[in-house]
This record gives sequence, structure tokens and C-alpha cells, in this order.
Amino acid sequence: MTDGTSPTSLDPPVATPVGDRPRRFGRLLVEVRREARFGTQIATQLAAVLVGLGLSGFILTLAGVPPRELVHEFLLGTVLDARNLRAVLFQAAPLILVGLSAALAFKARFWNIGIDGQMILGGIGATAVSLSRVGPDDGRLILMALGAIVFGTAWSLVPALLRLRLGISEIISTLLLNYVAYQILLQLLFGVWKDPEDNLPHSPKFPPSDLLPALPDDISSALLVAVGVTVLVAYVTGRSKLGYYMRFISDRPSMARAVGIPVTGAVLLTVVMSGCIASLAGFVLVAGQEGRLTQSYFTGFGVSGVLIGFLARSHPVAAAVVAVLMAVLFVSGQNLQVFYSVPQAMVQLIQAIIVICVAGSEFLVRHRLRWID
Amino acid sequence: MLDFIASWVASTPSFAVPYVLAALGLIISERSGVLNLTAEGLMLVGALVAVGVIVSTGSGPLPAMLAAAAAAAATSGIFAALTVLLRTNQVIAGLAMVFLCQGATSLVGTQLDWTNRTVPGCRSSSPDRSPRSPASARSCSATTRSSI
Repeated sequence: MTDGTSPTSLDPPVATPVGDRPRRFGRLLVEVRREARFGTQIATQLAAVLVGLGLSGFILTLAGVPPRELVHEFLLGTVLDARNLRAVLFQAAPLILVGLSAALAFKARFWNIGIDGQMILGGIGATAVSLSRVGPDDGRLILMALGAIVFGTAWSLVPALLRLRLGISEIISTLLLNYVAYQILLQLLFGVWKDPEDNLPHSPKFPPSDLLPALPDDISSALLVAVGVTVLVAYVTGRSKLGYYMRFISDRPSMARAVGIPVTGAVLLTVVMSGCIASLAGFVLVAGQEGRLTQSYFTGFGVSGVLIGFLARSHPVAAAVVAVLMAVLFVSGQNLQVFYSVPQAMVQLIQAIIVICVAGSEFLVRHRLRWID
Repeated sequence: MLDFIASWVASTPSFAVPYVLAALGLIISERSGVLNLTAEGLMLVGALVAVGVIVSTGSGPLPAMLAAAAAAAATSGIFAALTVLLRTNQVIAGLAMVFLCQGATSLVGTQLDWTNRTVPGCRSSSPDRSPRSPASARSCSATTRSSI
């Protein structure tokens, strides 16, 4: 794969394809910026987000949502309304986890597109523990989380080893393993785990002891898990030796190897942690939101995670913040669906527009445009 | 047993065609050095436009096919601009395009009431095989979210 984000500072300044022909109105010169100031970077990206939101608002208006209602739905309606705010926090927990999972893997230059698959295996692990009633009722949630971690981590180990041992692109292998995981899930749900009560392809309901308890104010305890993992990941990437290795590996891969950094071990450990966090996301969705293993609890979370990790520049705390904003988007999307029959997929459209705008704006951060006569 | 094998062999080509076409499209992109993860999204665009053309104009499969190809090519132009002109990361651009297409097709399909419509498709000559033809209508309906 040619890397689109490789540092371009060594490239010679690029002239536009206009060439050297004399032009009446001058021409646009594109130069590589040697270094972009942090302020410029932030300002450009905020502008890009605003442009994306503007475009999304325009599309929503075309879809029949009155423009005045947009502000209400997206800002006031979600943040100020207690019930909607609870829904935002409810949605935020799995989004924070998948965002962290993606961000952590990016830190070691590993494209984890297989978050969906790891979430599926995590859900399967948690369900296996719950259905086979392992351990006492009090401690089963912990065991379910462990089951999720074992299954999901094992699943993420496959593409990691394939890449580190055989040099197989993790982008392809993680992506394709999603489909394998999905088929395993269907096999279980249509087979041994089919609900005997209604004979539908989802697992039997978990008993109340196997559901994530609600905190005071009815906030899901999944949020505690997400916050805890955020702190942990922030510590690992910021303070630990592994974090130092990750920075070295992502900045200067060949030099890292040359100075004796255990690249293979560090990447493997990072990917395993990424898979572990993704499987926890599967666990909190199964045990916190659905209450059973379903066919679609993971849908959309994998790509959302990658996009959150990208928007957050792989920074764990930023990923948590972006994930909460995404959750606002999710809840607004649900409300829009109810009131204006705008399909829920509109959320994906808005996410995509914002990401495309931000990704495109990076060109302006890396290059300077000048109009010369 | 022989019946099973016969129907299996007979249905293989029609299942293989989408894979072949998608793979060929991606190979062209890969040859130019762009990792293209957008196939799923572009297939949705093609399906939606084809169904839309048939539903709204009552035309045959050929104009629908051409319109679908043109629409998907135009959508792919966004991806090309991102990766080639703006040098965006190809994985991010690809995944964002998949989301863009899922959202856009779902929105357009619902707004114009093109979802869950049965279209004759390419098999209009053999009505007994109709169980397969609603598939093209289904793929652009709200069930897009069922894909990974």
C-alpha cells in the first residue's frame, strides 16, 4: 500500500499541472509546507468539521427537516434534555471503546479494520460464559468480560501474526476476518444458541445477574468501563515504555528495528490490546444494551471506531471526546428518524461527510496554496 | 443428490458474477497503486440507481445498467479526488466512502420510495426464476445496514 499520509516534507515543491505556459489570470501554485503550526492545524480542522456539518445540514434540509429544528435536534435537544443526555452516554460507551481500539492500533501503524469481528467474538465469548452459567452469579459479569477478552483477543491475534510472520497486509486480513466472524455468529444463532422461547435467531435473554447494572441516575455502568479503559490507554500510550516504542515505530519504523526496539513484540502487544478493547465493546453492547446475543449489535461500530480514531489523531483522550460527539450524532439521528422519518443511515452519511472534509483539509495543512501572476 | 449438484452448478455463475465484477474493478484501482475499499459502497450506488431508473422510467435492463455504472463512476470520482489529488489516507477515504454510500443510498432510496420494489431486472424473460430478482431491489433498501 502506498501510504497517503507519509511525511511529504522531503518532497520537492509541487507545481500545478498547468505547466509553464503563460496564463492570462496567473496560476495556482501548490507548495509543500515545511512545517504547519499547531494552531493552523487545529483551525483548519475545525473549519473542515464546520463545513461538513453545514453540508450535512443542507442535506437534512433537503430531506425535509426544517432548518430551525436542526439546531434544536443536534444541540439543545440532546445535551440539555436529561433523557436524551442519558441516551448519549448510553451510546457513548461502546463508541469510546471502539475509538480507543482503533486509535491504539494506529499508534503502532496497524490498520485494525477488524473491530467488527473482534466485537462479534467478544459478544460470543461473553454469551458462552453466560449461557453455560460458569461461576457464581455475583462474579459472572467479570467472567463474561474475561470470556469476551479471550475470544476477541484470540481473533485479533490471527491478523497480527499473519502480518508479523508472513507479511500479509492486515488491512485485507482484518477486513475479511469480519465476514468469517459474522458467519460464525450466524451459525451459532441459527443453531445451538437459537432462543427456544420464540424460536428466533438470537440467543436466549441473559438473566438479570448477567446484565451490566445501572448506576444512580440510570447511567449505564458501561460508561465506567469506557472511562477506565480510556485512562488506561492514555497511560499506556503516554507514559509507559510500550507507548514510547509505539511512537518510535510509527515515526521511524526502520530505525526502530535498527536501534534494537522489539518491534514485533511491541506491535503484537498493541494489536492484542486493541483487540481486547474491541471485544470489551462487544461485551458492553451484549450485556449492557441488547441483553442477549443478536445478529446486528455490532453493526456500524467497526467503521465508526476507525473514523473516530482518525478524527482523534490516535490520541486516546481525544478519541473519547470524539466518541461522545459521535454519540450525540447517533442520538440526534434516532430522534430525526422518529420525527422526520429520516433513515438512521443518515448518521453514517454525516459521519462520512465530516471525515471526508477533515481528511481533505489535511491537504491544506500540508500544502500552501498561492495564486501567482 | 444429482439434483443438488445440478442446481449448485447452475446457480454458481450468477453468484460469481458480482464477485468477478467487483474484483475486476478493484484490480484496476490496485494497479494504479490505490488501495480501494469502496467496492461495497459503489455496489450500493449501482444497485440504487439501476432500480431507480427501472422504477421511474420503466426502461429495460441495459439503460439501467449504464446509468448504474455512470453513477458509481461519478461517486468513485470523489474517492479519486480524495486519494489522488488531496493525498488522503486511502484506508480512511475508502471506509468513509462506504459510509457515505450506505447513508446516501439509504436516504435517497427512502425519500424517493425506491426501497423494497420488485424490478424485473435482467431476468424478465424467465418469470419462473423471479425469486432472485428482488435481490437487486433489496440491496438498496433500508437493509443496507445488515452488511458489515
